[in-house]
Amino acid sequence: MNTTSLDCSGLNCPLPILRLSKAIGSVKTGDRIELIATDPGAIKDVQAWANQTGNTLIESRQDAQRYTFVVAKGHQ
Amino acid sequence: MTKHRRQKLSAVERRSLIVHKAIELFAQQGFRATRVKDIAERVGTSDALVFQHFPTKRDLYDAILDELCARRHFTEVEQLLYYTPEYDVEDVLQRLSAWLLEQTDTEPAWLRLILYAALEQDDGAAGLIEEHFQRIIDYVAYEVAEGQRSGKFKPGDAGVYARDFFSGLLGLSVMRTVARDQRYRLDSPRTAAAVHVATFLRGIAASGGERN
Repeated sequence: MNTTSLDCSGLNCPLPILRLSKAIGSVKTGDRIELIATDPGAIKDVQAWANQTGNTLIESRQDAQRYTFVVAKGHQ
Repeated sequence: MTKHRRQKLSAVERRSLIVHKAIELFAQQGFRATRVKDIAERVGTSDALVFQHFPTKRDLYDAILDELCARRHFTEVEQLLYYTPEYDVEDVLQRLSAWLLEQTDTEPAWLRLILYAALEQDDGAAGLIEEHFQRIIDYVAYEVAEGQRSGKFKPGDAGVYARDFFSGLLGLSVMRTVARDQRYRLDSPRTAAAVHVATFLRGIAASGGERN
């Protein structure tokens, strides 16, 4: 299982999700992507996106204005 | 004689009423000239209650933008972007553009708010509106950059292309609203948006721009 980091700090939605969507397409099932975002809109967007696309939001945490999401490709 | 009964509003209804009355007042007399007291009077409530719903002016501006469907609509576009793997960029740009033109065609308050924010140099209002626009401009720049990577679009600063796209669109919406020349309004928002997007895409196409 590999984890790829994707820093989307400073990017407004929809860009973090578009980048996440692209990144998930290039990894294997079970691999993880750690997404870092600063747009608060990412909180609901990442969760909804994971639910709708059959991927899994493993972890979500907030540190001040910085949001970190760990998404695994596919159902876990 | 009609007997008037004061209706008891729920918190949600009162909040919505405050936003509607604030839009009316801001669009009529600008941000600076409008005091919380004016909004409270128009709603028929107290200043304190307005502050209770909107502790800062920024909260109120935020709610106004939401009310004007700006973010709500963009969410619809996001749905398309997120869940349609092979979405068509031209289709997305047309939807965004048609939305902006429909917004300014049907809700003059929207354009007045933008103009007041610019003319009064109200940092809060201008900042929020720019932030909202920036979201769209950033998205357009992203698509241009992606298209450049794949060889679809010609090289150049994607941010400049995106700002030009948006400025042209906003200029079109202003002219549709203020120009006396009826030709600006002959096309529906959807048709005008399609022309604007097609012209833009043709202009930045890698093989476009040459004259025969």
